[in-house]
Amino acid sequence: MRLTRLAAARFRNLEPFDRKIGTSFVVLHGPNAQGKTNVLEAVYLLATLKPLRARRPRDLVRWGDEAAWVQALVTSKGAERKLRVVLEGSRRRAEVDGKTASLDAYFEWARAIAFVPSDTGIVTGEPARRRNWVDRAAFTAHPAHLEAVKRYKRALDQKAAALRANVADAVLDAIDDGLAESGARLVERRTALVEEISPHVRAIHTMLAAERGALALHYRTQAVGDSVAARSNALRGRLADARKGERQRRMVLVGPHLDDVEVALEDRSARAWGSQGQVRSVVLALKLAEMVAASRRGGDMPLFLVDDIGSELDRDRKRRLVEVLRELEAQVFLTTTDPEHLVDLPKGDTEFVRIEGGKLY
Amino acid sequence: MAEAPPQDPIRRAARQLARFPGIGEKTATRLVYWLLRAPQGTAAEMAEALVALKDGVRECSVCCDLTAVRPNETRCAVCANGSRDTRTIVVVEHPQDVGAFEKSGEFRGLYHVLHGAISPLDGVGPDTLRIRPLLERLRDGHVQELVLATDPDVEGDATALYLARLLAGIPVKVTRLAHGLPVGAEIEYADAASLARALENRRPV
Ligand SMILES: Nc1ncnc2c1ncn2[C@@H]1O[C@H](COP(=O)(O)OP(=O)(O)O)[C@@H](O)[C@H]1O
Ligand SMILES: [Mg+2]
Ligand SMILES: [Zn+2]
Repeated sequence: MRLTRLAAARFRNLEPFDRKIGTSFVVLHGPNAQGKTNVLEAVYLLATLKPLRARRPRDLVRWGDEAAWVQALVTSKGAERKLRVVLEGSRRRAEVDGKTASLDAYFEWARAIAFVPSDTGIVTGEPARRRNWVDRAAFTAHPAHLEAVKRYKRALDQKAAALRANVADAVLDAIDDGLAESGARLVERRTALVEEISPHVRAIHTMLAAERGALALHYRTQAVGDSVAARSNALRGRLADARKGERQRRMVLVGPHLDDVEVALEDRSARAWGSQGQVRSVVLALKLAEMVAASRRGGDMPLFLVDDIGSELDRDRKRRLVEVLRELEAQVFLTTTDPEHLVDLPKGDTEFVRIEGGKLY
Repeated sequence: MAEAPPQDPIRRAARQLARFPGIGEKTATRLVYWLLRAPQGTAAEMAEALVALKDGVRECSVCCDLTAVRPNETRCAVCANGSRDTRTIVVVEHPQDVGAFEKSGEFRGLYHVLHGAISPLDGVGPDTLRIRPLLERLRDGHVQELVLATDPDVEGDATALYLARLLAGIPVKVTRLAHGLPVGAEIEYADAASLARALENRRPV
């Protein structure tokens, strides 16, 4: 997927703009608090329909305004489409070629993977960060993953409500049957994604990292087994064992909402690593592997967005990152305060856009 | 008590119509203006039909489907029809689901309407559903097969799994409608072809 034109109005602090884009690399540079990340935010919204940093879509509308829009011309799979996202109050509308589109139809044309400074938390933070990463990556590669996530979430909510209401064992039994089934399906999908992506993570990490040593990913779950049925049985057994404790604490104590992805380098947990540089190259490898996995299935490469590249990577890693991205033939949007440090970007295929006071120059 | 302020009849009518599910303030107002332009008596005819609704409809004494009140008959048309196959019962969540099966013309047996699905989030448990009358129908051993055709969502599944466990001790074959249906869809909106295929592919639970 490539953007050939980007426009926005009443979006954050940005002055209305409409720009043609003709390069693979777009560098958004300028002093702090000028709107660089807000441009990235606009691209991310277009490609994922989600805010990059803000909590709610309405935070993306310029203060004091009611509505904002972002639109772009994209080429994907040899065809061109006009994508448009309109934010109005708390509502969001996605259009393809001027017509409101279903999510499925929209995501045929749009996707992106972003790397922001806080993403180091994927390696160093709580398990929830890694579960979210897996679900996001699985969704980018296989949109049907969303349905599995939603279904398990709903089953989990029903179970929690059942525990709060202290329903009869016969009802909990039935709910646990369904919970184990939807949990097993979710685990099967997540495990498949981790297995699919692992070789890419390892190869890219070897390229990016200064240190040697193979990076390994393992999905850790109680739902063990080599089929959905086996996983469901395992989970169902655990749920039966946990019944008493769950009743006491009125919480669901077993299931993939508690799983984790172990990220290890040569048998050491990556979370125990000291160096921020090491952590950054691991997260970057995870994100780039996502790119590969996503392009494998749908055939088209997502956009790659990097916020604040200056503070994220040393010169050597930046050079190797650019090599990987060129190899993937991805279109890349980067923000930085000092563009002089990006000397390794391809001369003829890079556009520098200066951002000051919400204006694009 | 203070006297209620006089209400604008247009807004009052719109507010009533907006109580319908799926009808917002805007649509309701549009309907009210349509009514104002409609021939004399239109609103009265509608109001009369709506008022007669509650008293004119009851639950079938056998399958709990909704049916018109008729003298000397407590059953619905399906249950009263002597030519149906009384050994197979399709269990559904809503009366609308019966309509979908009937339209498909693929099924000659009987129905049972639960009037909902197990959903602790909404405070709905087995006691809220028409499960006892279903057990009643199975008592004499005449019914051979129960097809659980609850929606393929979390609540429909929980209901089917609950019934499967409940009926485990009873000598009746229990099957679950196969997932020939689009995920997330509701039985009511399924097209006849996919319903027929799902029915064909029903499997033991
Ligand atoms: N909804 C909004 N409306 C108007 N201005 C906003 C909004 N949200 C953030 N801003 C402003 O945007 C600026 C930050 O832009 P940002 O893209 O984060 O800067 P940077 O160039 O450092 O990446 C700040 O001046 C902030 O006050
Ligand atoms: Mg920034
Ligand atoms: Zn009946």
